[in-house]
Amino acid sequence: MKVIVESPVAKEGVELLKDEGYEVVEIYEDDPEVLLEEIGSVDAILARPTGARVTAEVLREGDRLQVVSIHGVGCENVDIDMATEEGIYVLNTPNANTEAVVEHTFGLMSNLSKRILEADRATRNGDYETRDQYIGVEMKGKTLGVIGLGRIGLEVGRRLGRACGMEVVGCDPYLGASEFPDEIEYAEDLEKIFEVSDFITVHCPLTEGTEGLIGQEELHKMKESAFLINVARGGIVDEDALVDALKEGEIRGAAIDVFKEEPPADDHPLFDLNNVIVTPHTAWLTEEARRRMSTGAAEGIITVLRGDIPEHTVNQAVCEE
Amino acid sequence: MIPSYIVEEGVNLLKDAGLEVVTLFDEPKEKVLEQLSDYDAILTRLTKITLYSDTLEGKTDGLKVVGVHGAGVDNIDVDKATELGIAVISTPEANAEAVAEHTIGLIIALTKHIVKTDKVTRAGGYEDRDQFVGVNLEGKKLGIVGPGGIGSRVGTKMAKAFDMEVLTYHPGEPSHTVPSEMTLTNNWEGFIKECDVISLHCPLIPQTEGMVGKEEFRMMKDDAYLINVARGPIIDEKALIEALDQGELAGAALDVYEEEPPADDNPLFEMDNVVVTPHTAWLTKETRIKMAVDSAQGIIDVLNGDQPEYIVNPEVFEG
Repeated sequence: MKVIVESPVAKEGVELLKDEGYEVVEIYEDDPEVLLEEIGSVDAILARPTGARVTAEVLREGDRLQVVSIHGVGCENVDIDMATEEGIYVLNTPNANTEAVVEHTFGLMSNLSKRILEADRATRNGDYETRDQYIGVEMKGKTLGVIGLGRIGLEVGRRLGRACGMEVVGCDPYLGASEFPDEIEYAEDLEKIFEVSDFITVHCPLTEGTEGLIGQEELHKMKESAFLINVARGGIVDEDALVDALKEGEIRGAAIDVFKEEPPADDHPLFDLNNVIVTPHTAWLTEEARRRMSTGAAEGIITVLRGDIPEHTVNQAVCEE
Repeated sequence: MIPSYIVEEGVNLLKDAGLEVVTLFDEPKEKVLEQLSDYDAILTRLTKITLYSDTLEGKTDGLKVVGVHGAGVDNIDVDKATELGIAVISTPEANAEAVAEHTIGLIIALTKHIVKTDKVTRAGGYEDRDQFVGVNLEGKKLGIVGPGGIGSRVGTKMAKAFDMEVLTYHPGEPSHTVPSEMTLTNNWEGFIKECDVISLHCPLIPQTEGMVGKEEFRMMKDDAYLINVARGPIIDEKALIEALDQGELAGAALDVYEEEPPADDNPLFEMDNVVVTPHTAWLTKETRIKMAVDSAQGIIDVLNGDQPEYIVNPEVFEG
């Protein structure tokens, strides 16, 4: 059996594949053409969502290909429909990064509300004496609005409510009021979230329905004192509208880990704003998450190649055939 | 007398109680001290003046109460004040929530490289992101030095949020009840060696000055993080800088410095495994109101002959 590891991953997963006796080819090129050259002789691909695109052509040409295992959650780099048509499993590791993203979200919120990055820049610049300007606000007693209550959104809502004494209100089109946990108040629609929240955090996937979900109008509905956090996907928040809203004081601040285009342009207008925190799509990136993703993705490949049913299948239709 | 700015909620409370309020925001320190005898009460911030024995002795005839707008009273010779029958009140609870939340922000800023990656991203370095591998807090050991109001808040929040194991160091019997989420220890060496994140929440007293120095940095885990939002001199700053340089710990976040304001060329400001804030952990809209109101109320209580809630030297009310 031969497996392509398409991007650098933690060594633990690669070792699992080798221990199984597979030939492992590590090609770190973001180029479908490179994948195409090898694909004829390959049984599985371990890929990162930000790596090379696993195109329809790659999937069609992969005569022996049984499984594409994603090191991460998002599968937008894989042509899922074609994979299903070809009977190829697409797997992901949905739980591996949950903890890291929850912690990052918590960090972004507390760094925004206490203006830690602005204060750090001022202190290093020798502006210690300007410190009276950096008046923060407390999270305790404030309202947190969570958009999208999947694994991450649920954890963020539950844990921040409990740990920081926040009121939490959530909205998710796939979760009815009766399915909400006790700690999170049910909001029927986003209007309610925009109206009551002091902090709004986005944890839904990027789909046709969520693209541009937060635009000019939505930002306008938020409190002027509100903070917006996006660690989900860049396209969900309209960046031009966000920049305008931040400049005009329609909201107080934002923390952004994901961008519409990645990598973002060097002169992205968000980078000039003081009331913003930007991190380079690293919310998920911890030693533990890398290890769990790498071993999780490898275990999925091993399960499929052994002829068993894998745990986290994105294209369930394949299992049903 | 109010020598440095406080929010109007506190000033109004004093005025409503029928007190004459004089603000001296622009007066230099010496001028303020010269006039002390003319006042019944002074409501002061730590950064403006110090009231050591040379200031208090023989120069404070009319003074009945010093209200400190803050938690720490290390700018006041409390023993001398007690001897002179001057009540000292502070606002120990007012800033607790803000400081606890700041501490959490600093911890995650370090473990998730938030300050560093923000700088790199703004400079067009998005593609370097794979270098900034963080660590999860889940299941790690958090060490709280000083299980007081702030330390206990940080400990319980981190236990509830991330299931951290929380140890707390106190040399003797703590005056506060230690919350069930925290395990008390008086074994300093074991504490320093074991913890993944160490956060200081003790007052500055002779026993805590330089408490974290060369020895401690040698004993710490190489991947440990240190946070100081308490008082600068609790850490030997020179030893910290050396330890950071030599990788004896992974990083540090500081809100307080040996000298304040710190020198512009403090070597800490050049380090990228460091987060620095300008003694603003306490500074929130909510804290400013609580501090002004609590310290004003304390002054009113003393001048009315009542024992205030947050008295530092209750002895002045005995006998």
